[in-house]
Amino acid sequence: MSDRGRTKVLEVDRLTKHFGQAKALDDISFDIAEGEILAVVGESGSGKSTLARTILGLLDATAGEVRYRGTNLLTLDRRRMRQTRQHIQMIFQDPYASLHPRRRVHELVSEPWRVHRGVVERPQWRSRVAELLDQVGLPQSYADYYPARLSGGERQRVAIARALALAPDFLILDEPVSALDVSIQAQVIKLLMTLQLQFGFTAMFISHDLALVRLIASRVIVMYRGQIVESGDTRAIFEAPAHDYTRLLLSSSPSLEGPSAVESR
Amino acid sequence: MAISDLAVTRPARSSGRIGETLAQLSRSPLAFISAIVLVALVLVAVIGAPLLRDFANTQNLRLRFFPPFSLEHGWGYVLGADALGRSILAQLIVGARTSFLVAGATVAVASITGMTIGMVSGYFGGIVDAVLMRISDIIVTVPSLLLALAVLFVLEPSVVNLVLVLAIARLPVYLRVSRAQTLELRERVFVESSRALGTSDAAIIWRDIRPLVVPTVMTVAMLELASVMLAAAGLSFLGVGLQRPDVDWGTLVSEGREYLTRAWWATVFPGTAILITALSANLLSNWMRANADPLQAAAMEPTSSREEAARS
Amino acid sequence: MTAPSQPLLEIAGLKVQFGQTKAVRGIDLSVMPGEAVAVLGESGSGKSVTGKAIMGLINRPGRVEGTVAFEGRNLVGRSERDLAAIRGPGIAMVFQDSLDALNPVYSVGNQIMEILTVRLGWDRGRAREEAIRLMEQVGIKEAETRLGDYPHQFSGGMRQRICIAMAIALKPRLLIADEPTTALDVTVQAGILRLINALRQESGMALLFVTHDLAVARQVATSLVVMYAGRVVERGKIDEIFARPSHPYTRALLASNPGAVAHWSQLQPIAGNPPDKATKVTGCAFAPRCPRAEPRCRAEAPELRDVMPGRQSRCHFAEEVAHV
Ligand SMILES: Nc1ncnc2c1ncn2[C@@H]1O[C@H](COP(=O)(O)OP(=O)(O)OP(=O)(O)O)[C@@H](O)[C@H]1O
Ligand SMILES: Nc1ncnc2c1ncn2[C@@H]1O[C@H](COP(=O)(O)OP(=O)(O)OP(=O)(O)O)[C@@H](O)[C@H]1O
Ligand code: SF4
Ligand SMILES: [Mg+2]
Ligand SMILES: [Mg+2]
Repeated sequence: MSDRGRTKVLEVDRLTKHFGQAKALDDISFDIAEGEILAVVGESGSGKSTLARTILGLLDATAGEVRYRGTNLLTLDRRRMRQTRQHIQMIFQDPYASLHPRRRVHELVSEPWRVHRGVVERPQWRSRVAELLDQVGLPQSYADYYPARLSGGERQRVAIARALALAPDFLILDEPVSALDVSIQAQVIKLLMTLQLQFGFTAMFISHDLALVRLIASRVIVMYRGQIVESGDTRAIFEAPAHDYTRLLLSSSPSLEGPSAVESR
Repeated sequence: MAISDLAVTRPARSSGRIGETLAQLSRSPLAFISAIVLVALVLVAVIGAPLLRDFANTQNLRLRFFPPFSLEHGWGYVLGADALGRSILAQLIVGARTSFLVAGATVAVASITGMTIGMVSGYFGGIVDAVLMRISDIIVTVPSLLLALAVLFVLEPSVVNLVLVLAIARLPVYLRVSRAQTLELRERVFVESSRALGTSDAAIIWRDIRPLVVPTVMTVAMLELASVMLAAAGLSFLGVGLQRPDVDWGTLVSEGREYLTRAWWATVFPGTAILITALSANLLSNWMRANADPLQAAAMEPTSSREEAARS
Repeated sequence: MTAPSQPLLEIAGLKVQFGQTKAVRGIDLSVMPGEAVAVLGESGSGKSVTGKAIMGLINRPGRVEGTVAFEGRNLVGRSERDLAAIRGPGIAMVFQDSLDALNPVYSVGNQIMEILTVRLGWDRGRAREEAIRLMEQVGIKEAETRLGDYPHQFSGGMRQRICIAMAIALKPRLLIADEPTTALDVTVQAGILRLINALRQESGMALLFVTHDLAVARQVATSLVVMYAGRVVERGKIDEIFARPSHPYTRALLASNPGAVAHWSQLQPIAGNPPDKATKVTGCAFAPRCPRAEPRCRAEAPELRDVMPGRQSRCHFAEEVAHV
């Protein structure tokens, strides 16, 4: 474990979330060190998005603690929570639902500055939006479009620009590139990683694309039915998965090599 | 190679602009005519009523029950005169103003208040929501006409009181519509995304939810315009509505009723005016609903029409 | 490739335009009965629009040009009623944005059953059994108890599976799947891909599978159509294309695959952006981003042409690209 000595940005302690009888999160504990990228992998419904939402306080935790740089987020009052949210941003799984349908790209990207005043002054909004769009590889003309006009990939890039607008300290990425095609994926991942090198933000990267996880995350936690079944160094886990589910996950990844499914039947 | 416009249920892009809405309106003759009728009536009421107020209340007993469609006494009496020899046409125009004022103000008060309460109630849920919904249930169970009747029987029947009473009676309609929609919208990821950003609840309601609720409320309001006009007419008809010199179409109908056999025109013309207005407002409201902004529609009904079409 | 039978779906010169936006600039592709074709292409290359155009779901002001022949009959310009009869048992589609396609106020069981009661006239009891079977078929555990649950009670991946169940409810002869597994984790994705393969084997259903994931395309399809900027740039047998791409774009796409490198810094995104959809492209649409581009490319638009047996490419230098 390489990053253990550093300051913890996020500490999740025995976090539990129930929906009625269902245990979506069951006694989850882990932490993320400064500058680290932690990947969360797991099957659909294993609670990855619930984990992200509970950390952000979008869902009320049933039990447990979430500490961001030492402060427990779950007990913050509304005002303090709002201030803290300036430093923690999230990119959502579904770019078709996460952008308000009645707002133009320009408004969507500048929205964070409307909420957190003083970060970027209003006269600079246009030019900052232009910069951000450029950084995520969208043409300037998109600033005046509504999301309905954009393809899935284009929308997700708008969401990324919006999340980067506040230069966050901690970023939760809920399957941010699963809707993007590989060439844009490569571009966005490179972009996110370059920005990460530049600004040093810490990130929690939720994904089911193991090929991608292998490339960018230093540590991985594997979730299964609301529990962490395995965690550790990315390389170690990829080379010697200890849990059956992790093995299944690795073997399910489609690859470009070997016989294709269609041919083999 | 033929470029074909495929069959459409909805145009594929946001209108937003007034010009574009007008262009769309002109493609539907019924709705177009309805809009023109309503605009014309409003214009007549706004311009004509102040000028004709005195004339409308001028009695001329020589012209009692003067029949319509005769220019013997000038254009003023072309629609005849009532039992006291007052011009029906002038009274109609003055009455239009009151009728529109009452209906417009009622709908405005009821829709804005109802929508605000509905959004707040739906967004926060919990006890406030439960209490508000119970109150609204109670209001709904009491027939609005009865409620108004009871209150106006006690209170002075003035325009303001009439508007307030009718507004309270019609509040639940807007409350329910906007609450139901808010309940659905607040679960949307874009709302969550705003919350994650740190946006305050008030700002979420105002900036995220309101723009998507307003069009629906507008459609309902259009429909309500007609029914409020009828309700106000009903109250006047029952004698607890407005009193002279405030006169609305309902008052005219109720006054004329006494002499229905001798002078049908004193009842039929104001009645027709109510009918035409109600019909136009209904048609326009239907058009608005059918022609709802598709962005809006997509945001409102997740099973968007095209997917339904694909499956059913 | 000497199949004598008539193609199930044959698209020729399909163009779709939204105002100035040329979303699809001319697509030719065909699907034989029972064949599985993958459509691969960059975000915004017009894959979803193509799918919707096949279904007749492009609304005004979108304009459709060209022919979409399904079982020999052109669908373009047909009335909503004619199309409605084909949708479902003829062609069904799983939408890319189907996470949002479920109505939040009805239980998922209700939504599946409604298709069966409305379209097939089944009684509710029978529809219920079939709904349970369909849900189990797409891998939802304890389907019977979950029938009454509402969409928000399912995770994203589960909702997507329910959408697939709805699409296959009427046993379509052609299933258009628009990135149906992008929201799913790999184990479920593997399951869905297996499911689609099994369905195809059972029913002989043809498949048009839209994806941007090369590895996934390979799991379900034997033929591949690569799209760029609203056009087909390469098509042929999938394994042959992967082994020896004959278009620089296909080549670049293969190189940007994260599975092919060891560190993120080695990823090779394709530089630049696709052409603006409002402008007319002169010459090759890929020229501004093409490492192989020559002056001729900018002046003269390449045609989609046969470059080797069973393979077409839209590049002036396809043969050389294939032999690098
Ligand atoms: N609001 C809710 N009410 C009830 N159950 C819920 C709710 N939200 C999520 N769940 C349940 O919690 C579990 C975890 O869901 P979650 O969305 O966190 O999964 P996930 O790991 O993000 O899956 P995916 O990869 O498909 O996005 C699922 O079983 C889901 O049905
Ligand atoms: N209704 C519409 N109005 C205007 N433009 C549209 C509309 N629908 C799609 N477009 C445009 O058409 C282009 C192609 O979109 P499409 O959704 O087909 O892309 P895609 O290949 O499916 O991309 P992705 O992989 O990101 O889903 C996009 O640039 C989009 O902006
Ligand atoms: S025609 Fe020229 S620019 Fe186009 S892909 Fe081929 S080599 Fe590249
Ligand atoms: Mg999730
Ligand atoms: Mg698409």
